[in-house]
Amino acid sequence: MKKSIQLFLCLFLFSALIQAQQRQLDSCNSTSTNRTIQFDGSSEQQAIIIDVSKDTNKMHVSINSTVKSGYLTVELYDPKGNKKGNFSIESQVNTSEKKEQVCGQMQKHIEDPVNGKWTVLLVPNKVIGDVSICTSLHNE
Amino acid sequence: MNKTKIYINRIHIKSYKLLLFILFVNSLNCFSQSKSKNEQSKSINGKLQLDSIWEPVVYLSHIPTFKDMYKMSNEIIIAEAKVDSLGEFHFSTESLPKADHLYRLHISKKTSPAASLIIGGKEENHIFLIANKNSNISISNRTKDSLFYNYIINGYQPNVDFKTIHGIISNDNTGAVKSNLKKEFINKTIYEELRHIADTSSHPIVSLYALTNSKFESTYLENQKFYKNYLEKWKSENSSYFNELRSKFPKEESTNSNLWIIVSAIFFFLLGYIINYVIGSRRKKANKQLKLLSIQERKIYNLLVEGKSNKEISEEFNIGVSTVKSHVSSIYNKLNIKSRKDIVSVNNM
Repeated sequence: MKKSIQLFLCLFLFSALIQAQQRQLDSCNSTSTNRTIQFDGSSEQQAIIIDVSKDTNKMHVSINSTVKSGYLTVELYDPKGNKKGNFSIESQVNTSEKKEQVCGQMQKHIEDPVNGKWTVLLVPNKVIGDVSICTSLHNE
Repeated sequence: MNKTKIYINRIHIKSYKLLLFILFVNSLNCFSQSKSKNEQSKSINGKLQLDSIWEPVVYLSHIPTFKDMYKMSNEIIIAEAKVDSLGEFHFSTESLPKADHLYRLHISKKTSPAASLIIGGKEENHIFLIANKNSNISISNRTKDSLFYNYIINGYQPNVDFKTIHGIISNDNTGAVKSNLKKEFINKTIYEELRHIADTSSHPIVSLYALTNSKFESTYLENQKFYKNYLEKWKSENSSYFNELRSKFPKEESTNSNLWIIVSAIFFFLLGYIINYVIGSRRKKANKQLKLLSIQERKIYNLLVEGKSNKEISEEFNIGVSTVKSHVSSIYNKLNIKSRKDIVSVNNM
């Protein structure tokens, strides 16, 4: 009898725990997007838009770029047009004998981001390389 | 007896000489040691605890303007130093310029090229420092997990101040604040504090870094006097950092340039007046001369202006060519001209 009560209590606690976890998962949503842009000697400016809704309370943006040749500027703007970060990378040597690579990486974690369209502006100048932009938006 | 005395004296002199020689060698040794110690102290050195993901090489880059703080290329790397098994590295500052400049130290991951820049997060791979030829700076980090997340910099006070300002700027100070109004208020307070640091700091790069990040452009019109005084305070600073700032301020119109504007305005006014007067007087003269002509002569004059021949004029007025000729010669006399070409010039007056 005592054992069956103990077993019953254990099962009850276990199910309650699972239910609580499920509720927490249901209330917390996150959206992640990955984009990769390849440049093949391009000098065409590109704007990548990140749409941040009202419910979003955390935003994480990670930008990774590698340049084999050319000059690349990466800038992050909030919907009000304020610059939230930037970097530039340049590689000058890209011959058959000698090659170099330059990497730039930017991580931005923003609490309660301004809702609207955030922009990652890519300004390349004869760039051979690539940029990957990973964004994750969380709403609790 | 005397010989022994002389012998003893000689020994004394020799021992003195030996003592002097030893003293000389010793002092030379001391001098060279202190010199080498001094040379050793002029360096950027440090002790870093590195995780296995990092290549044990520290790179030093020169940052010519604040705009280039987050620029990366192989060209701006000016030196590299190996991190030894104890985590120690050392750059001599002998080759650096005498004046203070901004530099960046960075470490790259083993999987990345030397010219790699990571901004933000615990993997941020760089720090900024101010140094000159005589600087002695030491850097260390606290844990293996974060490279420069919580580093310590000692040896040159401007770096401590620069680090504090950089921390204020880089951190999201309003992250935990929900209200937009509160966020705005906090940001405004931070910008004001940065302007205060800029005003009170005695180091030009530190002061300028604070001002550059205080969004001074938005308050320029409200605080013109402050910025004017600021530029006046650092007018002797001719570094690229200050030239960058000066280019952001609207160029002040000096009293000299104002004077030039006034003088040139008066000159052009007078020039216009004179031209107008000359043209006017010539017109008046021409009108006066035309008034001397009779009605018939004026009619013929108009046809002469149109370029018509004597015959055409005679046909127009049904008069003889000889009459036309006499009218024409009378017109020539009254207008004081000699040919038909002159008629056109009289008309253009």
